[in-house]
Amino acid sequence: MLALILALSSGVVGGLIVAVMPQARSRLRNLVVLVFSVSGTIFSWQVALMVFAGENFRIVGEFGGLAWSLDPDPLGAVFGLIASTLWLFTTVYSFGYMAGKHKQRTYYTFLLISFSVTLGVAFSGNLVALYLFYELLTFATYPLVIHERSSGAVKAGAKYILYNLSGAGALLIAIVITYGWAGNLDFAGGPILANCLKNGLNWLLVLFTIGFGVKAAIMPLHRWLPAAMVAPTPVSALLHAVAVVYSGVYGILRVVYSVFGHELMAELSFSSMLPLIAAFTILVGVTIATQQDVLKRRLAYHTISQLSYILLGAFTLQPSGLTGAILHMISYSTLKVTLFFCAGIIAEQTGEIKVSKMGGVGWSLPMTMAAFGIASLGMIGMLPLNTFWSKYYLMKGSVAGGRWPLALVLIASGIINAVCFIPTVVTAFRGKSVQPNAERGGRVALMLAPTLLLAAIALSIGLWPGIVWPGVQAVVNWFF
Amino acid sequence: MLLVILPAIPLIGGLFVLFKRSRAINIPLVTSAIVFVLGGFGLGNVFEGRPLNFRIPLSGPYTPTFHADSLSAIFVLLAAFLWFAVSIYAPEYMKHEGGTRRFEFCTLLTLSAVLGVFLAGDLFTILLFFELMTIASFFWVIHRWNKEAVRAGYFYLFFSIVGGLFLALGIVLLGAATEALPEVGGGFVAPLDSRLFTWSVVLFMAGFGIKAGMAPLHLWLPHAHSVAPTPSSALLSGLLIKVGAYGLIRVGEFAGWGRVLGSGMTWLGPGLALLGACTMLVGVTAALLQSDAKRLLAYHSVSQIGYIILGLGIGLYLGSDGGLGLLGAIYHIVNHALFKAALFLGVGVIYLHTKETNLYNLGGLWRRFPVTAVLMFLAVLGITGAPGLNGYASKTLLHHAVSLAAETGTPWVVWVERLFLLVGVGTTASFTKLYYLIFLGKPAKIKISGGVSPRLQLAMGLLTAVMVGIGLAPEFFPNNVAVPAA
Repeated sequence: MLALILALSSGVVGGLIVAVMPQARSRLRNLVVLVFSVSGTIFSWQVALMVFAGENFRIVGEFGGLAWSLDPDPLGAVFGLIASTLWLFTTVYSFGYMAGKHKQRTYYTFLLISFSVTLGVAFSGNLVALYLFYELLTFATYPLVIHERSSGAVKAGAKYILYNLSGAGALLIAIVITYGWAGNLDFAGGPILANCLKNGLNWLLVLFTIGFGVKAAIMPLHRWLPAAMVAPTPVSALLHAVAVVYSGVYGILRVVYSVFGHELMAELSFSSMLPLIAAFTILVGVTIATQQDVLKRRLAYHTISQLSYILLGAFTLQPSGLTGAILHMISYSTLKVTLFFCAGIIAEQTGEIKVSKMGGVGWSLPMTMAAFGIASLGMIGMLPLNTFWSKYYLMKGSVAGGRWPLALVLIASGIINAVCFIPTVVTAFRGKSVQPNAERGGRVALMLAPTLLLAAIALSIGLWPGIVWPGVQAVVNWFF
Repeated sequence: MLLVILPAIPLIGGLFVLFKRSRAINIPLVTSAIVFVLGGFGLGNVFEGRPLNFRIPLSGPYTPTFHADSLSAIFVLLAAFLWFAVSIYAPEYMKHEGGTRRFEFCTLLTLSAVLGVFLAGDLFTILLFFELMTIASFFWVIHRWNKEAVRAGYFYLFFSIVGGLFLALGIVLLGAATEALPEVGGGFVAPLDSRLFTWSVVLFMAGFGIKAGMAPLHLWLPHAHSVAPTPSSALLSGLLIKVGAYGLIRVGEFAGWGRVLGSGMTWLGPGLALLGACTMLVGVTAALLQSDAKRLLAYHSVSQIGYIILGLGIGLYLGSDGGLGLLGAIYHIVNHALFKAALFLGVGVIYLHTKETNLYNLGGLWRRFPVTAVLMFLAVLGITGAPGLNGYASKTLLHHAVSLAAETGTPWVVWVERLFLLVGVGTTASFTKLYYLIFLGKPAKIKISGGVSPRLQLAMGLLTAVMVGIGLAPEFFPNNVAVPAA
């Protein structure tokens, strides 16, 4: 219980402390940020491990007449683990990336507050809590999106709020209807709508999908994501490749497995459309990505594509499909953060943001491009990377669910991913580069170390998927 | 434990190359020698029918297993020997080519990956080492980093990636079609769902076929093999395409060597045989049109892999009488590795001293390169199947298998037999052209530099010696080595 409270509050408390600290004392501030990130991470791990071991915590409360609860189950624990671990990596990376930049106090304040809010999403025990934290996340991350305060950033921020609030509207209606039909909104104790026989269930599913689908970047609700790339790279890496988008994905997983339940889902006609929507997003997302010249936009569209891998696994309604989805949540996040970190290092050290201008960059940033190359192989889904296992189980789930064309979609996507990334890596090592070696210095080290460590972790999980297997199994066993 | 050590040795060697390369010791040479010796002693027992197994007990869905039976042992020893011979040749050649250190690093990594494929005990491990092999050998193809090399590299990498994806889906379907994923070398598997099983076998054939250079998935091969530095070409053509063939043999095991194939799988034998025949024809036809020596040899690799695949197909088709086909195929794998490597090394010698691979710019070189000319002549005799050398033995076996099948009178087999002879003629014609244009005829008006280093000749000599040895005692290999495998 204490661990849960400490995990959730670390970010907020840290953020508030940073907010009142004087601007100038940057080293002390960084220390404070680090301490609270580490604390949040450690306690999240503790909560997660206890949940996997079968322990139960519940915190309940009231907010404006609505009962909310925090009640982490294995799915929430996995999300919390991913979020907190990657938050720690991003914090260290930020020390390098943001050094010398403006508005650092605002940045770290909201980085920490968003940490808490994301964990709130992860550990929520009912739809009320989920909704509250989910909407709070939009506002907590808004200052990070508009960080640069340029006109592009402000416009992107407006789009961000607009899309998210529209989704929120749909979500609110869906939750109200659910409460009306089921009488409770708790995740524990079986799917909420399990014994519900109303006619409008399909429409309810549509509403929920739209509601969470904005953050999950399901096409055509995805357009806020490429725009949000104006944010500083650590923000793009963490929030818009992992935390915010994963909140949407997590929401969809909750809808499918905790609100409707996989048995009821199998009976709804709309739910057979969902894998097709996911497949569409997968293929179109990565194809658009291939045409982008600005690296961060390429990665953004690629994110849109990869998120639907997770959704596809969830929509198969098979244990192996869900296994693939959870494995992909874990594997993909490590690699996408690696890719974004590399993009940030390249932008900072060479000033290049366009892929077409990145010829020869590999000679000044060899380790960075090596990490980029490893992550690229992972996006294709090749051994020895961890995404092979997620793709394997996703294909297994597709076949088990009787929808083997989805497996072919995954193969096609792998090929398009190769087209998207391999040429970038190869051209990076052709020709000479302007600077001899740009990987020296403390600042770069702070950026490079998390990048390389993440790539190494991805390789390790690829060779030994058993590392993450207990968590994955816990989630699948919880729902099936 | 040996089964993990063998692939690890080249890996350690690679680390040495990366960090402590000294000019005095030829690390790839030493490493491959160690592998050959250790492999020879350690794996000797498997030829008597006692396969070795090893598991690394990792938790979770994947436990790496390793397995060595006589088939694996043949391939392991072949790989080690080939790498050994090419390592004698490479340092001298790469001095002129440049980039020796990264070349040696990739060579050792590729050897490690290749050994891993041959010693893998389960499908995931095979795929893991297969992908590692793709990544490591990609750097061979792209070694020069010029436009041509990069294009060929992309071609190679994309085809290989697609192959890997097919294999992954194949494993998925196989897992859905059977109770448990079969182990490599585990023999025949009775499927629960024959439709899924059939599709998984098709995917495996496609995946391994891409690597082997089976038509129509061979399009990457001529570019990749001709653009890589010659020692790499020798190994790419000599061994890496055989990794694809090895995969096909293992898949054939699931489908059932030596049995009458079950209801879903009767198409596998004829299918492979026909694909093999097409490959033979496509390869030799394209080769006849080539003017570049290395591309010519690369297309012949396609053609000769066709022989091997044909042998596998006929073997499956004949069911319990199919041992001859399989035997011929395995024998030809070994022989082709030897003579193709020798041929590439010879062409490399010529290139090194004349900077030319265009056949029409060469000629009359037997005077300047007498030793190379003799050794190349022996290799040419080998590949064309002339009596007295190794190629004769394996091609005859393959032909016998085809004739045996043709006795049944089925029309397609009869045509395949005719094609077999036709391709043989084509091969002879093509190599006559190669040899004549390089070594005989009017002397070319090109600048020829330096004398040939004895190391290059030693490497070629080693390969041809084994070829002649096999040619003079052709029964040794089948009796002692291959029959137990089949």
